[in-house]
Amino acid sequence: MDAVIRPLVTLLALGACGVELGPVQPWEPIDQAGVDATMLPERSAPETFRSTRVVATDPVRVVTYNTEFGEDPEGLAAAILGDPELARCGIFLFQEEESYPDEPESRAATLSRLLGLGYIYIPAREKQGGTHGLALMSAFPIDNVQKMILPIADNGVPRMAVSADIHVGDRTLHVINLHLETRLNAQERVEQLRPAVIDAADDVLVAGDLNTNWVTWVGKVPVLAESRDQVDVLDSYMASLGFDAPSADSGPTEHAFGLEFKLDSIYTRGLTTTFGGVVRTGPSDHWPLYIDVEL
Amino acid sequence: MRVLLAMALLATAGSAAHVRADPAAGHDVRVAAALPDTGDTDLAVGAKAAPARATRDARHAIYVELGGRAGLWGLGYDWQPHRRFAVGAAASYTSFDGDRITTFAPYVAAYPILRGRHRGFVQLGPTVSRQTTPSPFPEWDGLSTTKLSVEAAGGYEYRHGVLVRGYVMASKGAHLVPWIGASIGWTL
Repeated sequence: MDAVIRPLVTLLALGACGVELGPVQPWEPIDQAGVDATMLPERSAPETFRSTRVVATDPVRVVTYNTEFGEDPEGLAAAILGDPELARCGIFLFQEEESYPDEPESRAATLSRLLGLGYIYIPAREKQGGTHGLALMSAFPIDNVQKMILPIADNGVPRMAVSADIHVGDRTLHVINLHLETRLNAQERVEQLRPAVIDAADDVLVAGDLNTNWVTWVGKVPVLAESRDQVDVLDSYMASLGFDAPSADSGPTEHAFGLEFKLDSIYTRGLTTTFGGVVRTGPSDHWPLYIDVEL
Repeated sequence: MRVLLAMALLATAGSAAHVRADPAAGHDVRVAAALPDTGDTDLAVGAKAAPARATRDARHAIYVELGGRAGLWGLGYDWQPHRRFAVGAAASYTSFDGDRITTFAPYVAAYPILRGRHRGFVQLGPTVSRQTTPSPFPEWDGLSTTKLSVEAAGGYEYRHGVLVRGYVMASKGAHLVPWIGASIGWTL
């Protein structure tokens, strides 16, 4: 019987090996003093926050898109401008943009120039001599930009949320762009998300790569778990805060190893929205997800 | 001829539903009482082996799994009413980082390949999985969901006192997921 008991004890003990999340950090202005020069945000000139093409303004169209390290700005721009629905988008929340000193400009700068939009790039962490972070690109002026380093998982890397006000004429859309850790189980994912949304404005759009996979993480080892989709848990948590999940039925937004996952979501509160779609194209492992918002 | 053969077997095996030769004789050939099986070539071999030290064959098995039908691990039981068929179930409970997962996976199995102790099998059955994510926060009640999927598996089994299985499987619910499993246990 010992041969039965030992594996069982081992398996149950695995259940106790939880991921520890770090402390909650406050929202901070992105331009605060004392930040390491390599981690400073980067933005285009104020006059670039306008569009060189026709974009939707009433309702305004918002896209969230993980660009897979922004490695192929030309391919990303071609995918966006080549789709008539995406080409009308005036606000983009990007994840996984990067910048390296041996490249002529940040990848966000290249992409924004190709899209004809203004941009703000906010590094979340240093990576191989460069930086990795989030970007906002817009045909409309952006201000009140703040960042929050999310509770760090001890098996992961620093993750960040960025909030901003985007002014569409005399109307303002408050957005929160975020990118959660990959290797988290459902309850930990809620714990990492919570600080970014718990005190959010009444009228707000939250979007990004929430990494809501259907994997059970045993430490750093992913175990596919078809019946355990973390999207359900995050949708439930956001609903408890009064958020709608207009992209709940979007279908998969990411593809890898022949499998598809719904890793990206859009949540809104106090806003009238119409879900747009997922455009399954482009060089990234993620697909852009968009929504129309009446302000 | 088949009737005579069956009568001879029944006379030899008495009331035992399943008999097999002494493993020491090197013939682990199951002799099925079920008459429809008389056309199986194993039966003819069994007719020679059966008279010597026949013992009751094991219809029951319990096992533990790594991976497999019940997810990360499982505790299972199966019963063979017929040498080519079995029914069984695997179940598990796992707690990871606050998430609690209970899984129950009954199945039917067929053995299209029989080579003494070595067998090839296929399994098919539903899996019911209940996941509970408790809330550590006052604003949320947590979430419990119950999901149903269908799993098909195929692989190798060694059954002779011990039970050893290795198999690949596919689970289809909201997604189609490949998976693997390995089992070890005892036949009773």
